[in-house]
Order: sequence, then structure tokens, then C-alpha cells
Amino acid sequence: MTTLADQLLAATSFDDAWQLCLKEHASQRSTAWRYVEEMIRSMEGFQTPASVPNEQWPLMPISAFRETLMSITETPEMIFRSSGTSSSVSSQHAMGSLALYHRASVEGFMAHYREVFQNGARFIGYVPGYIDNPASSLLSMMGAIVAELEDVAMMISTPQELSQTLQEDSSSPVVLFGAAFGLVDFVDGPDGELSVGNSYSPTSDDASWQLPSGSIIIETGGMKTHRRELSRERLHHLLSEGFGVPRSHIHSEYGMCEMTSQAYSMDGVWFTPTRLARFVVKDLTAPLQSVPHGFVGRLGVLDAGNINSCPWFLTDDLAIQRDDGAVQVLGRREKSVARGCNYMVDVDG
Amino acid sequence: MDNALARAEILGRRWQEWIHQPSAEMEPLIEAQVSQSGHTRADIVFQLKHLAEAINVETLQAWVRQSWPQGVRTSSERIEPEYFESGEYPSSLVCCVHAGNIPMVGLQDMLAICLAGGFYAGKLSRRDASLMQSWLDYLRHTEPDLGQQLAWSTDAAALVQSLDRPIEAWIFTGNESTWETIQGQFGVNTGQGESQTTTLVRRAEASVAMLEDQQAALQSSELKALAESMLLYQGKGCRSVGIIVSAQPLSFYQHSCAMVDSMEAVIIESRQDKSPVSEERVMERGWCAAHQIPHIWVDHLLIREAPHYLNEPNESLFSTIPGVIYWVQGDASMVEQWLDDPRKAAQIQSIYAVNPRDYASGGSEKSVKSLPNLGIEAEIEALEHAQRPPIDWTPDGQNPLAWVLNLSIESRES
Repeated sequence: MTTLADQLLAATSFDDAWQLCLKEHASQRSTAWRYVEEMIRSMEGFQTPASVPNEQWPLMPISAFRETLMSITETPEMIFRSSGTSSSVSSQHAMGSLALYHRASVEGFMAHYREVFQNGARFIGYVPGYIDNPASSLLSMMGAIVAELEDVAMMISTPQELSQTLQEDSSSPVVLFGAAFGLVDFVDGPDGELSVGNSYSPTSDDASWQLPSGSIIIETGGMKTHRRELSRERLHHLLSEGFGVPRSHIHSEYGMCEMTSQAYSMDGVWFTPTRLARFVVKDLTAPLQSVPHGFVGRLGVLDAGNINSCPWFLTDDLAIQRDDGAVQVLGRREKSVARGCNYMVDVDG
Repeated sequence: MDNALARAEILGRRWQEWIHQPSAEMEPLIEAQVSQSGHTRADIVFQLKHLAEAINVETLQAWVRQSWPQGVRTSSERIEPEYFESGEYPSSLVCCVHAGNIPMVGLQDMLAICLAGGFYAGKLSRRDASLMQSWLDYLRHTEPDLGQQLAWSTDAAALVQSLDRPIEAWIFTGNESTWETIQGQFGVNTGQGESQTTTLVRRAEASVAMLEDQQAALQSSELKALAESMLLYQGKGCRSVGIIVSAQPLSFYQHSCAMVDSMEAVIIESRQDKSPVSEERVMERGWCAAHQIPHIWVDHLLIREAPHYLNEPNESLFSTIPGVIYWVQGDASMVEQWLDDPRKAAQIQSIYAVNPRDYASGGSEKSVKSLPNLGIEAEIEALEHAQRPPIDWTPDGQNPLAWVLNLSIESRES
């Protein structure tokens, strides 16, 4: 029997997957669907959900994932939880089918990197600290990629192990995929110095690593709670210097506990979502409205992979969208309260 | 103190003259304020009516008396009250970077500096310039001597240019990043950290209303007070109620016509319904409806049951969306827990109760601990006074008049 996940993955376009997703939520009258019905009553010009184009689809505040567990099935196979680093309460995301998450993640990843592995690269998923959070979606995704790539892939959770692995095989290129803070810590070295030269380098004399030609670093972001906050440009500079790979080989991944899909940036700037997802950018003060391409707004996600939970939600990230749908993520929206005494000083001089 | 009392008389008298100008004079100012600020006309009129009652010769002189130093022991000497009387102490130049969230919100700071005999340099908010400029113009015109102690502008650079000596102290409202913003705006030497610079920083988000003794439905006057405390200034004031602690769950009131009627009455009276609808608030209401979270939605206001994680250590007590008020079932002990947590206590401006006398200090079972960041006994204020603070109220526990008077001691020590 074909499962819903199979149907979703068999969809040949985002639009087909999206329609399947809408149909499922409508038939189940999910929390996410009831939200859309409520919102459409407030939106002028629309009578039914079917009449609302994707750009104007009402997005759920992402805080909903913190407030409750949204799940169509009563028995989700997995509940992912965010690390809860920016606040004390984690987001939680119910995956009806873990296989869907794994297959969607692997497909999205391999769409960009299959050729690299065909040319002999190996994969290292570097997940320091994540072992403490078995409900981490990143850990689960890394596991799926490792399973897909079998003997040319591994997951590593300590800097010592990573250092040893990189030293043992210094000939074949590596795709090193990890959270930004872990990669920066690695090149910072055990003393946590800011200089690149104090990394877990093969010899104490070396200034930095020199990964084999063709190696790629993929960082997942997530510097916000690190002991220092870096711009993406500075982060990529550090990683490029620290691992001895050209800047063009420092890539980025955008994902979160609340998403089934991911987005990748091959130039470190513009993120393209994988097949089941689309981005929209909403007005900062009127988040039911989209902003034209090229304008800063709040990043919204339409993720058909979230067929069991909430496929449409508004993040707290700022973004600009390009005509081809790719987005540049500009960091977290300032959530300082727009009220009371914190709302007071003109910033215009 | 006599000099300060004399200044209070001048300021109180001139204030009453200015605010009671003929309508033909005031109306254009109000209209200009509406167009530049986003404040509703009703909000402005409410504030002007309140300030007309709250500021006069008597209240200003009373403020001076209660703020006057009773002799000060410094690290090296004791300074007697007569020192302040002599008029020989240095007159501090204090820059106020005013807020714009509610009409004439910086007036108290301006008056404090003038009463203390200081030099007032006001960076007016562009959202709140019309009335303040008019008042300052009037004062300069009618009191030329006092006028020499006043400078103001909506532009930071222009204000700095107009001053003939450096700014010695700052009053501003904001959070940790605000001081950096101000340093940039004013070209302050960034090597000089906040610790070395004399600043009075207002840090709070909103206020708490306690309805813990309401075993029955609230009376109409209490509902009106509650509605006013939440709704005026579109909920953007730090004295605006952002969370209600009640013995009853919100579901007790959810279908109460009296509650909704009271809200609607205040909304219509204050014309909040003329202000633009916040789409974020609409989305929050949609979420509550979809997830069956108890809530009351009346035009522009959403009262909703607070998220379950409200009491977690790093969580905000208040919604990040103005006009969204949290309702939590609890009692005074819950508020005390918040006050015991510095991160939560720092968010709270004021605490109101329908019957504040129930919480009077003196060992009553219901007494609520002082706000830790105040260092003084916090008073539980009457809910009906939420948007009607006296001129001597102490935002964040800081009496700005006493603070400015104290500046002269600091400069003498240095």
C-alpha cells in the first residue's frame, strides 16, 4: 500500500506535493488547517483556502511549535526538539513518518553533492554535543546521509576524533558537514583562542588544516548562542582559513527543527530550498502581506514535507528573496518587545 | 530648597497656562501630533487631560520636598542640605533622549532637570515632537532666564551643535543596545563605557494587573479600569497592563458580555478602533482560535491564556505583540516568584490591583515583595490609576528629580 509519504516523495513538482499536503490537512481538519480557515475570514478578497495563492497563504507564527505539538497522527514516529538554546522551552516537531524525513533530507542533500561523492569524496557529519540531544533533527538527518553513503561516510562527535580522522586520510576530499559553532570551535582549538592557528591541527607548528583539494565545508549556522557571534562572512573566512579550503567551497545549510526540508547555499549567500519546500518573504509589520523580491522581510516557509504537522509557518529570521525563489538570510529578527520602555529611542538620528 | 520651590512655582504656573490655552492654539498641535506620531487623537487628549490635573504648583512643590536630599554622606565628607540651597553647586547638563511611545512621555524628566536647576538638552522623538516643542517654546518665551537652560531638537547632531559644553549625564529609555545607538547618534566617545558615564536608563516592558480576589465577575467600574489600563496608547506604554493574574481562568470571562462591553466602550471612547489593525495580533488570534486557547478578541485587543511556559526562567512575561495581553490563573505568590527572578522582575514596570490596600505593607499575608531592581518598597497601585500616574511616580524605582540633584554630588566628588 502506498503511504502518504511515498505519494509525497513521488510528486514530481512542489505544486503537486503542496496540493497533496493541503488535501490531507483539509480532510483531517488539522490545527494548521483550522488556522488557515480562521485567517481567511480576516483576509479581504478570499472566500476559501483554494482561492489563496501561495504568496498570500496565511502563515502560522513559529511560536506555535513551542506552544503545542501539532500532529495529525496520534502516534508520530519521532518528535524532534530544538536545542532550546535561545530560550528555555524547545520547539517540538512531530514527524508522522521518519522515513519521509530521512528520504527528503537525503534527496535534498544528494541533489547538490552526489557528483562530489561519485568523484571519491567521503562524508563526515560533525555533531559535537548533539549526542546529548537524541531528538535533534540535525543528528537524524546526518544519520540518514551516513546510511545512504555507507562506507564513505561517518559521524563524529568529538574534536579529537575529527582531528584523528582528518590526519588518517589526507588524500581523498572530504565533505565536512556540521553546526557552525562546532566547526569554529574545532579551528579555534582546545584553548578556545580566536586565532585560527591554535586549531586541533596535525602538528603544533601548523597554522591550520589543509584539507585535500576538492573538500567542502557545509555549515548549518547556529552561532547565536556560541561564546561569540560571527557574521556569516566572518564565519566563512574563519572556516576557509582554518580548514585550508577556498571560500567557494564553504557552503551553508538552512534548516531547523520545525522543517522537514532544508535549503542549501553553494555560494554562502543565497539559499535554495529542496524540492518539497518554498520560501516566501513577508512584510515586517504586516506579516499577512508578502514583500516584493529584493525587500527585507520575515522569512516564511511552505514545506510540504511537514504534512503531518504544520506545513506553513513564519520564522523569526529576516530575509531577502530573489526572483528565482532563493533567499538570503540576514539573521534573527530583533524580538525585543515593541512596547513599554524598550520601544523608545528613534533610530533615525 | 527655596530656589527649587520657586522654580516649581514658575513651572507649575506656566504649565497650567500652556495646557489651558484656547482650543484654537491647542488643536493644531494635537493634529500635528496625530499626523507625526501614530498616537490617536483620543490618546493625546486623554494624556493632556491627565497631565493638566497632575502637574501644578502644588504637586511640583510636593515632589521637590520629597526628593530633596536630607544631607548626604559621600566617601570623603558629609554634604548638608544647605549645600543644595546655596546655588553654588554645578548645574549639570543632562541630555534626555525622549521616547515616542505615548504622548509627552518625557515631560517628567524635563521637569525634573528644570526643578533641580540643571540644563535640559532634549532630543525629542519625531513621534512626539509637536506638543513638547510647543511647551518648551512657551516656557522659553515666558521665562527667558529659565529658557537659557533649555535646548532641544529632534535631531541629535543639531542638538549637540547647539550646546556650548559637553553633556554630563544622560536619561534615556531602552535596553542594553540603546546606549550604543545613542553613542552613535550623538558621536559620544565609544571608548567611554556606560559604567563611566552617568546614565539613567529606564528598563521595563509592561505592567501586571492582579485580580486575585475576584471570586465573582468584575464590576463594571473595575472592568472599565482594566480595559483602560490595557487599551490606552494601543498597549504600548510601560504602564500598560501586559499580563493579568487572576484567581479565575480566562474561560470564566470568555463569554462574558460585560467584559466585552467594557472593552468595546473603552475602544470606542478612546477611538482605538481608528488605529491600524495589527496583523501580528490577527495571526495570534487565529492561532488561539485554531488551537482552542481561551481568548477574548474585541476589535484591536486580544486577551489570551498565557502560554504554558510563561513561568520558565528565560521566558518573557509579556507577549512581544503590543495589544496582546496574557491572562494567567494565579495569585500574589505567582507575582512574588516573578519578583524573585531578576530576569522577570526587570520586565515589570508596575503592579496594579483593584484594591491595592489589600496589599499594604506591614506584614499582611497578601503583601508582595518589593521589586528587586527598585531597592525600595514597591507599591501596589490602584488599577484605575494605571494610566494616571502622579508627577512624582518613580519609573523603575528611580526618582528622576532626586537623581539629577545627586549629580551635583557626583561631580563634586570627581
